[in-house]
Amino acid sequence: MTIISVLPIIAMTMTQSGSAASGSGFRLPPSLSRTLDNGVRIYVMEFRGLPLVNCNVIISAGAAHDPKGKEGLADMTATLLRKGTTSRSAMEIASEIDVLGATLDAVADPDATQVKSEFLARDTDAALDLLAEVVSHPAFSQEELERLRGEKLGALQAVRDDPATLVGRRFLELLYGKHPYGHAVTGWEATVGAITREDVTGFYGRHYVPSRMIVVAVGDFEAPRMLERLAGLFSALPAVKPAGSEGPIPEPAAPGGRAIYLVDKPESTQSQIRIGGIGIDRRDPDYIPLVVANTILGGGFTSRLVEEIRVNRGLSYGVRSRLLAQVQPGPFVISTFTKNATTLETIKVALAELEKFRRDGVTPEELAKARAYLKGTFAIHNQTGTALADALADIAFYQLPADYYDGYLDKIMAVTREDVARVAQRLPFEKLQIVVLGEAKAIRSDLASLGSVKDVPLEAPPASR
Amino acid sequence: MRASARLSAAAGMLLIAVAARGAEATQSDMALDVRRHTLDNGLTILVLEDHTAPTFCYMTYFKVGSRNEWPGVTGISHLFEHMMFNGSAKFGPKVFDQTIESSGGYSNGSTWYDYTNYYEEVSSDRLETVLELESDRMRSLLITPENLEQERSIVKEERRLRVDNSPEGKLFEVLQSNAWSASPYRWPVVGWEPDLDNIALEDSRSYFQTYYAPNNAIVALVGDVDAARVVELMTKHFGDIPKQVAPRKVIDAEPEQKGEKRVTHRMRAELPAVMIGYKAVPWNSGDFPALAVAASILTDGESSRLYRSLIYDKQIATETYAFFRPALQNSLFIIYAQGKETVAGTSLESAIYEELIHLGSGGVTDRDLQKARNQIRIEALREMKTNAGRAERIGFYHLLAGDHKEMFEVLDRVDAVTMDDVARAVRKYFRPDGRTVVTLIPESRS
Repeated sequence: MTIISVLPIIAMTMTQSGSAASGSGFRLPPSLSRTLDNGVRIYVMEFRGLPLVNCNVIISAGAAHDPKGKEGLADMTATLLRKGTTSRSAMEIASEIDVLGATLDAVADPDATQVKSEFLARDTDAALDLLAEVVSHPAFSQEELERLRGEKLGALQAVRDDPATLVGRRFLELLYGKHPYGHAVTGWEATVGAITREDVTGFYGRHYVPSRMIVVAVGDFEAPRMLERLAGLFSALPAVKPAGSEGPIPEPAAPGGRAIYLVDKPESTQSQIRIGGIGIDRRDPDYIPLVVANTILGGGFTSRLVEEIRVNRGLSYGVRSRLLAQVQPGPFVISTFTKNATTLETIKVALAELEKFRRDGVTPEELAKARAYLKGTFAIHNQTGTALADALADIAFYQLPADYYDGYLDKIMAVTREDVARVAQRLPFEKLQIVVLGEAKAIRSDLASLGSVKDVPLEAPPASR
Repeated sequence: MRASARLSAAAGMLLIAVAARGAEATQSDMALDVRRHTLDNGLTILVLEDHTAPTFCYMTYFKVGSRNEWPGVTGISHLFEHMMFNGSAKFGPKVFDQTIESSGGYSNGSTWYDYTNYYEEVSSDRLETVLELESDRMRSLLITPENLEQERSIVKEERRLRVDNSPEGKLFEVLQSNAWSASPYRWPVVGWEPDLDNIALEDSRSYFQTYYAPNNAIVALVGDVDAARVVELMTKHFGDIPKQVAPRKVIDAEPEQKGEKRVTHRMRAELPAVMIGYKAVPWNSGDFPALAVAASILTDGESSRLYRSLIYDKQIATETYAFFRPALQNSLFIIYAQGKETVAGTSLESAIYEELIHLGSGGVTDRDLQKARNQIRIEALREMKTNAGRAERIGFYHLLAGDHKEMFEVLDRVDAVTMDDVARAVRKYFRPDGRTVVTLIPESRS
């Protein structure tokens, strides 16, 4: 079981979070929640206006739960859900979704799997039946597994022509090593090739159990009726005692020291650059001040990194820093790209900015701008049922307080320069991993001026690690 | 502040009407409650109130895109998309974005063959701030050697990212430049690299004066604003910006294509791919709706013909899609497929042609048709979810048709398409003699 399951479960709560206007600005609409006898947790939120409904099922198992040698299993299992159930074929399911004009996607991330559907309110019965069916009764036929394996392997081949994705994969592997976060969700060609039907049914049996399932619905419906409807659909799932064999995701260890890696992509005219380290988990008490800090450093379009790399020097079309907070500390990463000749300069500017940020803190103007930006874009972002469903899922999955987003803006506005200065020290610096993908013969000697450069193959099969 | 999760009643009801349609064509009687006003200098203003969230979107469409350019300065429209954020008479460099972010929002822009748009979303109490910034840059954009050089270098990085280091982006460029002989769609929106180097300060200044004039612009505001107040404030801030001579007309001198064009493109890449372009029609052609339905049948969802054949049944492709957008003049209907490592480009091609022949010879079913109509309608509905999405659609259809209501009428025309219409359009436009085929030959790895 993951660390999530040992935290208190919200049982039979009817949460009425604030709908009233307040000085803090925009608030999310109220929601209702219930935990079924079998352990499934349900959250619903009325959101009228457009005749649409979003419904997501979240399963607390993702790529971090892939067994060694079977990396890509959570992703494969998720995608196979809509490739046939005990009563419908893959093409029947696809055709049903398409004729409704609906969406139904199942994707794994490092921590969880999400099955997400959006449909017209008038099609609620048909769409929810289909959603519950793919989650509860997938067929996992050998034929569909082989077909999908071919698709997934093809997609992995295609990644080799996609420098940005490729460097992101190498960065994760080099940063996390053998830790469960050390592989992309889609795995490697060798491990995807090794996945059997038993692996898939085993993963499904261990993880797709009611006690590890959250159902979220947002949209054009009456909340109490939707709660009943979902309770009816998901209470049929038998409660399963957790097998107990699945340990929580371990805490990742920081890398030993700063390292520079070079991935050769011959004939590239542009280097893709990733610089980063291990960041924080989602429940970290410094999460909110770090969101503010990162906004100033490399979020938005007026961040320090954008100013120095794009605006003042014209070195890149884009640069940003991201802090991915997961169940365990996720990556902190600065991403950018530049022509071969300015690769070294761009890395140096990014490193200098990070150092300066940690050393000197931020100005009152920067802080005010970041807080206003986060406050305003929160309202803009939450205009859609899709975004609201994600916010509800966040609360449920990370076991945040039910009124978390009511206080969110107040907490953002309360962050001080001292807070930012303090949490800036938590951004990785001494042990940064620098990964550059580009034409080695054009950039190697420049990179060597930063320290010893380790070569990494374009494809990094797990055996090489 | 308002936190009710309801759109304004008018917009909400009408959008329900959009979605709640049967398989039969419905007469279009819906119209968003858009207030339209034209200033004396020709600036068109479209306002849609929606008080759901305390924010609004301000979106400008300039009737200028790469089709308005000429050899030697290709890419100048897109370069302008960058220049527009670098300061104006009253606001120095960097102030635009700083002010927008301090106002709780973000800004961006995009450039295409037919148009350039700019938008920001901010808190609704910053309406006048936005109008000050926007009117100042329309009146007196700062065009200096420094910011021209800076953006030139950034745009070249953008080109390297999207075209030179992306096999798919490269194929698109090669396809457009080979398919057309005289159409201005033949040069890339991002511009040829030597042209980017060639654009001079004087070119930029005269381009700005002609194409960024109020009479060449449409402004759509959607969100938590008061329409009457918007018109009043827009008049105050934009009213004195002088009108300019209308831009020169764009001529599409493309001769009829009288034979298949085949092009190979060799580059360092891992996978084979093929991109096929058929000469098709502008958005207002009588055949456009049938082709839009054909595109949906070919490409929307996992039950679509291309996915089903190339990925699911034959298992030869890693990716495939059809691409066909409303355009002001004849544009390409594009079909793309990326093959698995050992698949020949010709196998991808034959699989695509097989689907087209099937569509042209009575292979379209009633269910296909209904699926396409539903998908096109619901896609339009999804774009209505956000203030920015609505501003985009309202502005875009006003640009195309001179009336945003056309956004609903196109859906009605799609509803009226019959199985015969699709088959006929497929036979008429997907002829070998009218197509250009670009095959990517991956250079072997050393």
